[in-house]
Amino acid sequence: MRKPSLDMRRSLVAGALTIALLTACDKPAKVPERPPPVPAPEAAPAATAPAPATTQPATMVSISAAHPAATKVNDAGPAITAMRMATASSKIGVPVDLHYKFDGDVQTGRPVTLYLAAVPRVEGSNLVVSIKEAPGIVATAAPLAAQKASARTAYRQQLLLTKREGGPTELRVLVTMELPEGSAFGWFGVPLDGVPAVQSKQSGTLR
Amino acid sequence: MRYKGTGLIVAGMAALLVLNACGGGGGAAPTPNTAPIARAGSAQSVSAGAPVTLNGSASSDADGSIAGYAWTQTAGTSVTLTGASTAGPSFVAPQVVNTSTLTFSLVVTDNVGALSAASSVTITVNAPVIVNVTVAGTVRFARVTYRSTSPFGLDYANPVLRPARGVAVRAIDAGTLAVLATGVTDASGAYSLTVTSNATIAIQVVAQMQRAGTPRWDVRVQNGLTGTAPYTYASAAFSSNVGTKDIDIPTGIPANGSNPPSLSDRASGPFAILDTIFTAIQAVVAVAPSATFPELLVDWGVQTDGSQFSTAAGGVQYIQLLADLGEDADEFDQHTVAHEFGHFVEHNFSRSDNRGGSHSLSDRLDMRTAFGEGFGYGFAAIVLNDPVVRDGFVNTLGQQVSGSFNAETNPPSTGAGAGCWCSEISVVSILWDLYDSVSDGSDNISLGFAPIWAAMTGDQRNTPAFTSIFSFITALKAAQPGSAALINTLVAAQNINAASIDAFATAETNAPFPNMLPLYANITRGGGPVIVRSIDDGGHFNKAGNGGLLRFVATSTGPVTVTLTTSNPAVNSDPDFFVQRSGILVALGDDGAPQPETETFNVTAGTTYVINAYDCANGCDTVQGTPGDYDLTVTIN
Repeated sequence: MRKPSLDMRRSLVAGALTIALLTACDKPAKVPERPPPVPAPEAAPAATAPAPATTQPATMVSISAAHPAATKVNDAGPAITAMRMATASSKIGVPVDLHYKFDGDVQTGRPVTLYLAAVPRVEGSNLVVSIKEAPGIVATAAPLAAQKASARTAYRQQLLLTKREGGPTELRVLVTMELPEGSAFGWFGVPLDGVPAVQSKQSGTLR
Repeated sequence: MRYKGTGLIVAGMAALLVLNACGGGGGAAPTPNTAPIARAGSAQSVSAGAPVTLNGSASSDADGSIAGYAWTQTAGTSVTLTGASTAGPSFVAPQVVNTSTLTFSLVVTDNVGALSAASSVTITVNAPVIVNVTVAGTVRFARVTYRSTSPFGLDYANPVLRPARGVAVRAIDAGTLAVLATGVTDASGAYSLTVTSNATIAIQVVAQMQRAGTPRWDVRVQNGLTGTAPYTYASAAFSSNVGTKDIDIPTGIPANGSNPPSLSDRASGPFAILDTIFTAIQAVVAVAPSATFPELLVDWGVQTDGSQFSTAAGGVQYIQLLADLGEDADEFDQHTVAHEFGHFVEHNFSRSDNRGGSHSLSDRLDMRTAFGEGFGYGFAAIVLNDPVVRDGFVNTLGQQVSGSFNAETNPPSTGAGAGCWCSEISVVSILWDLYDSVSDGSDNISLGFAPIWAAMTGDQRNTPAFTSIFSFITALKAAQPGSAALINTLVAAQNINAASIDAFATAETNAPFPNMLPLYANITRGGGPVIVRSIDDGGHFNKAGNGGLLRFVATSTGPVTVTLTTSNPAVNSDPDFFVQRSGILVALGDDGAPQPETETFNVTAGTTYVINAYDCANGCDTVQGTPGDYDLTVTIN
């Protein structure tokens, strides 16, 4: 039987203080939002994971390790809790949750801003988030890359996206990361059609 | 000119007298022409399909020469005569079912245009003698392997041919597609089928492996779960008389790995999948000669959205494998295929309480998921005898690359991705090191696969705890007491307390997040509430800490009621739980909000039950509400 002990209560208080500190630390110096990055020319990767020709400094915000719900975000994008989670392909993948949010409805021929936040569940390196080109979709952004990826930290990217007539119903996003045990990747789907305002759903019971 | 009889001589002389009396011309009277004689030659007996030449060369003309021949067919199956106006025309004897006769007539013309009487000849065409003949050969498929240099992607430009082992082959009539003979390739890809001679046939190679008796298996690869037949590759048509027919099944994929026009063009993919499974089956049969594998369906097609093992309604067990060449196709990723087959093996021969769900390197997983997924890759490394796990994919630049890890390389002892009971890589590393013969660091043991199999199919299958590395190592040490010290050293290197290990992790001191120990809380009937913690620090659903585990030993037989509440303050907070007895689900409390969640069920005295309680904000497949850390209060009355 385990009940909250005095120590645990102290921990909770300490945790709450930590959250407050983290939140305070996360308040950036009112950096104006970056304009949508210019697509980089393609280049061959140097290693297993696909590396971009040029890397865009990732905008980071820490998420409280104890209470992500209480976490506030910086000015770079929406709160993580206000974003949906992209569906990952269902096999061993990359330990990263990919969150997304559009600033409006995705309508044919009308540019819309897509906010992405890649949140590693564990520490890693060479985190790269890249968008797959597809007919009928125009997305202007260089890959997001971070040489060191901290756990529970949001690596953000925003891009201007325009869907053409007959374009795909899903934006495909590849996330790769190096880990102490090896290299990992995962393909994610960001739906471009109307989706209910619910949190993420993994694709079934998988193993 | 010769005269033929006295009568003619007299008549001829009379005619000459008449002509003279009439004053017509002087000199001798003309000799009458003698008609030529046609001789169509001797009768012949030939085989169906054989070339035949008629012979009219014995025809003659007594008072001149033969100036022309005219052959015609007067009876029998019509044939085309070549050179019908020559002395020796020819034709091809028709194919006949029964012996039959053809009749030809010859009329010759002499040098003054006189025609002969007709002469006939008969040609007997004999029906072919049908005999059984053997068509044999080797079936090979094209396997795509990884490049040996970075970025280690699949090399579609240089496939290698491998024998297609244990797959179904059948000879079909090339015209009617009727199946004439069936067989199975052997371990070298060789097949042998008996068919009738003189037939035009094709060989179909079917993406199915079946073996009756002991051991037994039945695996097929198809597109979709229902309504489709296994993938099949067919050779070009050929004569059954050839004797040998080797078949090479190509990838059908361009050298750059781009998509061919259709999935069916990717001919060797299904056979690559089966080949990996054949390898795995052989490894199991080597330690369990009487293994009976249930029917397994492999769904390989563009509709699949992941690689996974599942059971469908009706008990159909299936593996789905990705087939998207634009992003990720798994038919040539042997460790991925063997991993999913490992789940199938674990499910049927051992037991898996794996919660499923997405999982990754370094993830801190629920102990059940960590073991199940780790067993999948450990099994793959063992049966393939290759610790380097590689999974090819295509990056957004269109390049063939791969993700990978090495089972021989232990996770770090501290820091990110450190060894843990919650790490599938730790489980992979332990299983591989138990199996392999290479000593490194803490690995000084080499048991091979048999003891691992024995533990998996023995105590691990019946453990009253949830299946995990704890229950497995407990089972292994019980079966291998002489190796206990070496096992302890190996397992301890993964930050797992091996020396005092038991299935319920009673002595475990390592946890990835605070407030997780002990991993099982004991609970008794009427003993008051027990609080366990739900922690979302590692992620939701199948990650470590999302649910609390409880152990309950029934002291009396009869109904008990489990009640669960959560400290989650959300209005629609939804705590759920389920109860197992040695892997058997005995109660499920998932009624949804509002709390509390309550279930009543019968228990048997002396029996151990395990309870998994969780808040759906953390522990459900689909997150409900706001994830966080919550207290779960459980009572049994």
